[in-house]
Amino acid sequence: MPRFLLLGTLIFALIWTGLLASNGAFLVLAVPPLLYLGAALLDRPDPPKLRVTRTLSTDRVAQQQPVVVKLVIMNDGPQIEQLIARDLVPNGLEASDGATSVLTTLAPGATVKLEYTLKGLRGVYHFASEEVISSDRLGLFARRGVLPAPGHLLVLPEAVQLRRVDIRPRQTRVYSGLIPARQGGPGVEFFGVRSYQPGDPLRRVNARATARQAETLFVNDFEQERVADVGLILDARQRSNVRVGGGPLFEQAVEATAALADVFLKRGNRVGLVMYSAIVDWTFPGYGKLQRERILRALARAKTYDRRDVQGLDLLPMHLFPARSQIVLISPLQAEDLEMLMQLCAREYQLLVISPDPILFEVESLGSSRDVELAGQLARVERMLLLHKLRQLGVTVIEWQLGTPFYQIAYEALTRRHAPQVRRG
Amino acid sequence: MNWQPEHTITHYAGSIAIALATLALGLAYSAGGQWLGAVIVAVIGLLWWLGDRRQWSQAPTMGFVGFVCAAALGLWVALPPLGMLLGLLLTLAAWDLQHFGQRLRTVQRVDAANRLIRSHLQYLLVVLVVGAVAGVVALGLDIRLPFGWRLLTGAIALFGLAYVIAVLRRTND
Repeated sequence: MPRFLLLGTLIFALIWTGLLASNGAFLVLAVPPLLYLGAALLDRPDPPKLRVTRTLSTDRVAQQQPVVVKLVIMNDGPQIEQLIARDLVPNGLEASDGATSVLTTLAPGATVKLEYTLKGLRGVYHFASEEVISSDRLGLFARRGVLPAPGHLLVLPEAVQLRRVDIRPRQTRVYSGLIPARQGGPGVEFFGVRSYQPGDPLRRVNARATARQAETLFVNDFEQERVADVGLILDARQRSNVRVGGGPLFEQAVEATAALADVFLKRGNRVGLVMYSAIVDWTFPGYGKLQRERILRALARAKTYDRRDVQGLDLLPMHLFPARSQIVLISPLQAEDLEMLMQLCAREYQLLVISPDPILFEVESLGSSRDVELAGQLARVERMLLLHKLRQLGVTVIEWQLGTPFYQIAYEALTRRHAPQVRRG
Repeated sequence: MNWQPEHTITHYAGSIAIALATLALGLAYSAGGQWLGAVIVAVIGLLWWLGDRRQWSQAPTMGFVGFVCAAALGLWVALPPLGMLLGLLLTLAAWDLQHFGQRLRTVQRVDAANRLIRSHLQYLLVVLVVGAVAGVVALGLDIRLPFGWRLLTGAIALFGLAYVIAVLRRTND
């Protein structure tokens, strides 16, 4: 109940009691509250004429990095006896140092400044407005207003620096790079032995092979290294995303995608990103730092969605990926996904699946009970079968137990020294 | 929200006002031999003070309504009107100071706190002093109105107050 309403009701009750009881003392009791109400009414603020300007120290920042927000509120109207200004911080951001709200008195033409530091999780944040409440000195009458104070902040996901991730797509691009191209030519890695062609340098002659054959020279051939097309597919289906107290599984997948995009682009490849959910968010393939920025921005706004009519990866826009290129799917995987992954293999895409383990992630949060243990075991068997079928298809599957940092998984499973042997096609 | 010096000042002022209001009403009740009333006033005062300490948002409203009712009841049982008037003035002060304290606590920073508090207290003091003087003067007046006039005055008060409140509700965002 507003204070003035309470006061008015009490005044009215006292007056009527006094009149009905023919007792002037009740009317006397109504005098101080009536004067209080009158005094507040006299001091009542006019509609405030305020302007707000917002500045952010940066509009693009890494996760949990501080951003300084400054707000200047200018009074273009008459004196405001009491002004409460409160900045509306978007959900997901947390204000640390400084103050997001202030109570002050503001003379005509005067300004008040608010300054605070924000930190936040990955996302795109829009600052819309600032709430202002002006009131009289007794605080009985308040005028509430919302002043536009727009601002945008992009909090990019953390991209862990991976030293290298070795992939072997079936087809590479024409430019030289660091991906083995499955073709002989200038390179570092031994590829095979072939007969001498005019122009071959003599230091490449393979003496042993030549000695076995009469009148034929053999030379060592090396594998060409080129850049490749890499398509990153991030599974953003709501049903794949397990959410427990420690946070959603999806965040881990986003960070892994950012790390992979970073390392592939640093090694000169052409990288594209598809975030697959109810909508397909596509970042067109590109090279270099600009593309890294585009992908990180796309990942910053990544959210999980669901569509009831789509269960598996049926709507994956495969025409966006060049034929026989490298595809990296980051997904906890669903049983229905197998069919689409088989189709990808049939179309000769080189498929790498990085699958954060949703079962361990969920079971750990549920506590230990016999039912949970049994359910976990059943789910694990089902998952192992799915992964086994994928491996039989020739898909490289990296199972990621989320207790292990991604860079460690990437080093152990995706560098050539440790990577599983892949057939040369 | 950090506890700042200005909160302490308003907090103590509010607590003192509650204590004084309780004392004024309690003494008036006990002077009139209404011991039960005095005890009830003391209990309301204690609960109000506790509510203030624990920052119950509804404590000022409850305490204020309770004390105004206690003052009205005191008049009904023919206790001295001056004591009731004094009690009501102090109740008004306590209610105001507690709300002011609550307003200070809703923000993270108070600029020019001393000036703001001084301005508020001065304005409140003026209102209370004028209220006290007007009340004392009004107590000395003896105006007798016939029933019809009383009804008319009541109706004017009703419609006048209802109109003011309706206008305020529309404009008070």
